[in-house]
Amino acid sequence: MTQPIYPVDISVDNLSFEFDSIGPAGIFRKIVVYSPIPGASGVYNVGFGDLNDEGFIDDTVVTNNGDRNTVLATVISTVFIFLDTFPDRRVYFKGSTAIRTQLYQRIIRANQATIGGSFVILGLIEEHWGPFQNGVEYDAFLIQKT
Amino acid sequence: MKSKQKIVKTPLGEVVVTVNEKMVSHQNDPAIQRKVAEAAQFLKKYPVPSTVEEGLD
Repeated sequence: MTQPIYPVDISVDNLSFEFDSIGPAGIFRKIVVYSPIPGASGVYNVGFGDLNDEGFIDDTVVTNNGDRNTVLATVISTVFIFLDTFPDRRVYFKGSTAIRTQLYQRIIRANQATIGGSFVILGLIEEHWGPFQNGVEYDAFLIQKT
Repeated sequence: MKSKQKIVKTPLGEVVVTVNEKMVSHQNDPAIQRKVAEAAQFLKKYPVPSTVEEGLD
């Protein structure tokens, strides 16, 4: 299954991605930032949000631009690009809301067959990390190269 | 296609990626700093497995 994915700009250090959400409400610049997590060696956090007029990231805004799945698929695609660039690193992510976490999970589930060939996805449920399985609602995810 | 563009294949499909030398680093953005701090607290409470194999057990 192929998802529509927006073209992305990537910084020279390969830690930041930007793309435009284009829809009925306008054009919104989206930012995805990978940052090392203190105390978790080799694990990187995914930060995601809109660039506001002041040049800061707003990770709570809801733009209702009619392209939610394309935006989330683009964000997840940057995870794979990041891990292809840095195969020894791992990526932790969790939606800013429970609904966003569920949406990420839905996209992973829909593409699990192709993802599973090159990447391992773990999910956190009931305080334990385990292999991603269909039909389970996870609280957070950890992705790494196989 | 511009010279700094490439097409990257991902499990979700192909992505047109452009290296942008003018992009600003957002590592110190307050929202990013907050999310990283939250992640550090979360993973302190629920440590990630140290190896792939451990996580798949």
